[in-house]
Amino acid sequence: MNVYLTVIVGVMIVLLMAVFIIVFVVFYQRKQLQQRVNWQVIEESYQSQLLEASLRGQEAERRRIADDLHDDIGTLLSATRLNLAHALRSFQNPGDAEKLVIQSKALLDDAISNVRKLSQSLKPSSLDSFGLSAALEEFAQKMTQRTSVEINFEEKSKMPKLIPAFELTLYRIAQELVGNSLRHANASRINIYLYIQNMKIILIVQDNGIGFNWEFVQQQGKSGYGLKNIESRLRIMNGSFVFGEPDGVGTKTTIIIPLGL
Amino acid sequence: MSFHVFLIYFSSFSSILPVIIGGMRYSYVIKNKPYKWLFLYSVFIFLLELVTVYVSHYKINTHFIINIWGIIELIILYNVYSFVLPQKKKRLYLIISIYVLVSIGVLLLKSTNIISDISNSLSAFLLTGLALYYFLHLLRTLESTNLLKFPFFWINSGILLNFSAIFLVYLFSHYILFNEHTAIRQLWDIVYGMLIVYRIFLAIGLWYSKPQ
Repeated sequence: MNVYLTVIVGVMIVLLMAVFIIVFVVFYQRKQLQQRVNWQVIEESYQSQLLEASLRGQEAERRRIADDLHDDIGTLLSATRLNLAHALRSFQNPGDAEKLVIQSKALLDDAISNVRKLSQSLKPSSLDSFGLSAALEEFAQKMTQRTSVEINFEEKSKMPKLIPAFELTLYRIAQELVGNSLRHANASRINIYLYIQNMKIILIVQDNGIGFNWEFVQQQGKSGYGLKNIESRLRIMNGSFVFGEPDGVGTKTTIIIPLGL
Repeated sequence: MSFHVFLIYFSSFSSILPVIIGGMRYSYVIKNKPYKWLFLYSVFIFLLELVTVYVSHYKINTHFIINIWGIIELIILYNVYSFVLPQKKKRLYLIISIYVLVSIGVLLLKSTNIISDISNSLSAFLLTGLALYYFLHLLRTLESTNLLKFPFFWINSGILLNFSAIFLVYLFSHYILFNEHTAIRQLWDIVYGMLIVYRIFLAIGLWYSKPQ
């Protein structure tokens, strides 16, 4: 009877194992589905944060334009209008009228200059005319003049002409990163590098400031809207970014975008 | 009527269950290749059981039917799996071909009037392996949001329970038949019991073939 009993016990064990496998499949599958749902919730929440950041970015840009229009150009035009009204009343006194017309002309020149600056900040004309490298070069020069920080741009490899939306995105990202360094890094030098490597566009913005702990910021959920905005722009381009501290000093942000769009 | 005889008849007539359920769900079953094959398979089993009961009534040995059916059953079920498991058709057909050749060889070498332990246990082993592989596929793809209402989950569970249990019975059937032949009846009771479970699971699977 030994073999018979062994077979009976064997069958029971195999059956128990089969039942265990079936129950395991049911529970494990449920768990996996639950995890998938959780991931979707996290992903959706993240997407909505990115969208919010993008909208906030747009809103901030609009507010800046409105402020510029109101404070600079609006004030200048109002002053010009006032001057012209005075000039109209001073025609009996040609000396005063001439002085007021000259003032008005100067004010109009300022207004025109401010409109140009505003237009330039919205979309630099050099981007359309000469491409991304020229626009970044110009941006670096202007920012160096405006601030006390030395900003350099270097095109490490010859860049081909990219599609305009692509160039504008990279330009905006560079602007945002330089802006971040100027605002938060307390840096004295910022370097911008642009090159192509393995069919990928690499944009590096590196400063010698106080540094930035990206992992800590992420863990604390303190990632600013500027960075989310960058991430949101990069997602459209299927790109990615990496933060690092070269030699423990400053911050180095590497933007990687695959070519072929 | 002894328990053993009752189990034989109960097991034989349980084969009508998937046929009835498949008939009730015919409009859905016919649209879906694997379920269509499973319904035909259920009809085959039912007809075969009728023939077996009829033939055994006249004390004629039915083991040759079981041996040949073992080969046909594996071919049908492998064919069904080839519809639900993607990109594995060539491998499946290769395994079937090897199995069929081995089984025919074994049947030709040995008598067809006794149950072929090698052919049937090999068939049970291959189907157990395939059922396990399908579960792995289910976990990888998360095909269904509710497995308990997913038809092929029930069918696969039935295949796993039935063929994993009868594998050992078939494997040692010759030894027990010739050395402890008084115990063979109890072993066959396991086979009949598992067949009832299998057919119930098959029926549940066909019942859920209606899109949820």
